[in-house]
Amino acid sequence: MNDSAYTTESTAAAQRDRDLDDPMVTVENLKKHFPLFEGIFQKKAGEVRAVDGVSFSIAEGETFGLVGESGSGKTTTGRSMLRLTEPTSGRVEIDGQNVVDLSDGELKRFRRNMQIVHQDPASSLNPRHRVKSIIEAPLKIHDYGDSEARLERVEELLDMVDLPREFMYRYPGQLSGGQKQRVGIARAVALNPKFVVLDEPTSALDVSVQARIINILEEIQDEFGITYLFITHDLSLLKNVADRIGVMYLGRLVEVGDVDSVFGSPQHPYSRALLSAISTISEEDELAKPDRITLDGEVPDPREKPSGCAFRSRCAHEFDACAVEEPELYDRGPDQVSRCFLHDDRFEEGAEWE
Amino acid sequence: MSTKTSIPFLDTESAARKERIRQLKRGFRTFAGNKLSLVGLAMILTLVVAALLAPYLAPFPEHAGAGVYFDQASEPPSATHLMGTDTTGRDIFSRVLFGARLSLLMSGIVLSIAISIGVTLGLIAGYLGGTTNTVIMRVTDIFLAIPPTLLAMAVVAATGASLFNVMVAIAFSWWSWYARLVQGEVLSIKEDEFIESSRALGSGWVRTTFREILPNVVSPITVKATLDMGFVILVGAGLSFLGLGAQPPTPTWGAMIAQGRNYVTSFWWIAVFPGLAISFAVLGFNFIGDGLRDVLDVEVD
Repeated sequence: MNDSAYTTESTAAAQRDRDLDDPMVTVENLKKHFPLFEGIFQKKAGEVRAVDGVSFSIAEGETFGLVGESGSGKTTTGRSMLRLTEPTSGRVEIDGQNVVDLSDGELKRFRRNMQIVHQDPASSLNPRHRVKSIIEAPLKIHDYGDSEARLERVEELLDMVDLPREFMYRYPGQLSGGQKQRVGIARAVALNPKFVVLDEPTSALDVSVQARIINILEEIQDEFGITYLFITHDLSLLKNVADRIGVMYLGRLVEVGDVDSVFGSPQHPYSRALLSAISTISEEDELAKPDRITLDGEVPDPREKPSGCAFRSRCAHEFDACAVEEPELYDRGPDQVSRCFLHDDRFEEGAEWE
Repeated sequence: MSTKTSIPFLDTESAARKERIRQLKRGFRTFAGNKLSLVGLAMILTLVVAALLAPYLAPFPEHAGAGVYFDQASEPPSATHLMGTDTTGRDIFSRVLFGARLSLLMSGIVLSIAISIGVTLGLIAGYLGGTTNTVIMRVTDIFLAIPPTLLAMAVVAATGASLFNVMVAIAFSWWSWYARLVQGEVLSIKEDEFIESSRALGSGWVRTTFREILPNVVSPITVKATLDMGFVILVGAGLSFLGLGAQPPTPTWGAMIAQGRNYVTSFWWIAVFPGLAISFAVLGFNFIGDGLRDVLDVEVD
């Protein structure tokens, strides 16, 4: 397994960025493999490598956007980082603490530092609890003051997410989707966490509400310096939200870079295809983005990934080398790496690839 | 489009309570939509009032005990004795009223015990899964396979006939239904995202099961418990009919039927009225249970 070689290189590339000298979050070679069972005796028949060696870092107070199609492993990455599902291997360092090493008890206590906002606000709030007790839950679990102090904190949090304080007596069923998501955000930031995973926080909401939710998240980040991992399938959303972006495909990061580089000059064929698919309104934007690239076929079955480069089955530039081994991450700028042989001088196929 | 004004304010705790009352009223309208459930409610209210006020409503409260009044033995129903008298002259109406007390009390206690055991085990099995689940549910299966009456008879035979033993015995054979019901519910609720949210907040499995899952299984438990009230009364009456329950002269309905069964042809009222009381209670609880099922199956919006 020569994975580690690529990993160290990518980490090295990331470390060059001045902001990343002392990152808040570091993920190193994170893997999550789900075993597959078959037959009446449940024999292990293989595994799905949902997350297969992902590495990146996030500087304090920054937003790292993780983008990919469904099945790319982006949500599993986020959940493994918080150990909501146990990672198969790898390191996840949050505020200097390797989360993977924590015992169950330590993990429970450490959870005050890392939180998650789920995709579907309708199911992430218990329908039988009032808003007050939902937001109060983390405070109670982590012994935050007496009931008076907690009430004060709940009011403060409702102010923060711009909900009337009176809403604390409501049940989630009496709130709109956007309001529910705000309650979810209030609960996630109740204990001033260092790091919050935003798992498609807006994709279940109306477009008109999405912008408001994003604004609230940004206001909270500005005020408290929280570090975000923003998971989404909507690349266009990240342009205004993220500081850096990672593009995932079948459990691997294929391109990582700061938001301007990735949007300005996407390097990997897959990133280009994603960017070309963004719908634009102004003519200026339309001209700026790459010509429309239509990807052939579907994402391959994750149980049977193509050999070599996982993307080659849908790539217009595929050549012999792609099937043989997986490309490493090549430096493509001060803070931009891309996993494609087109960047390799050894192959003449990359000559016309700027 | 300020969201603050788009929904009427629930300014205070009291406004929230009003909203809650409004929901309850709506629920009651659904409940009352089914006429039979209203009938059931009326029947059970009658029963509860009868049980609570038995000493005041009964024309001859002293007849609940072991009196002997041979001068009025085996009298047919009349204005003085609404349901007649038994072979020792005791007023059957008075004894039926006191019997309602015992029946409701027994049923309530039995179900409280059964629900405490069953729900706890069901929650634990469903949430923890794995070996814990296998062990708990296999034990539950064993208990499910034995008819409650039979198991209760065995327990009473071993521990001696008394009302207390009967209650423990029935509870012991009844919890398994709740364990199975709750375990099934937990399996589906467990997949909801708010369970993961709870875990992400750092709560342990005890908090997650009892604070997050339990409130979501209250509805099915309530419906089942209401229906079961009648059945437990039935089983209890069966056991006391067999002489395994409270001992004479305690006026349990089952024992009264047993006492009257030798005279059904000549003094039919001795056995028939306690029997009607049992039917009355069982029917009433079933009607209410069905109505509650209609109300609670509806999503609480």
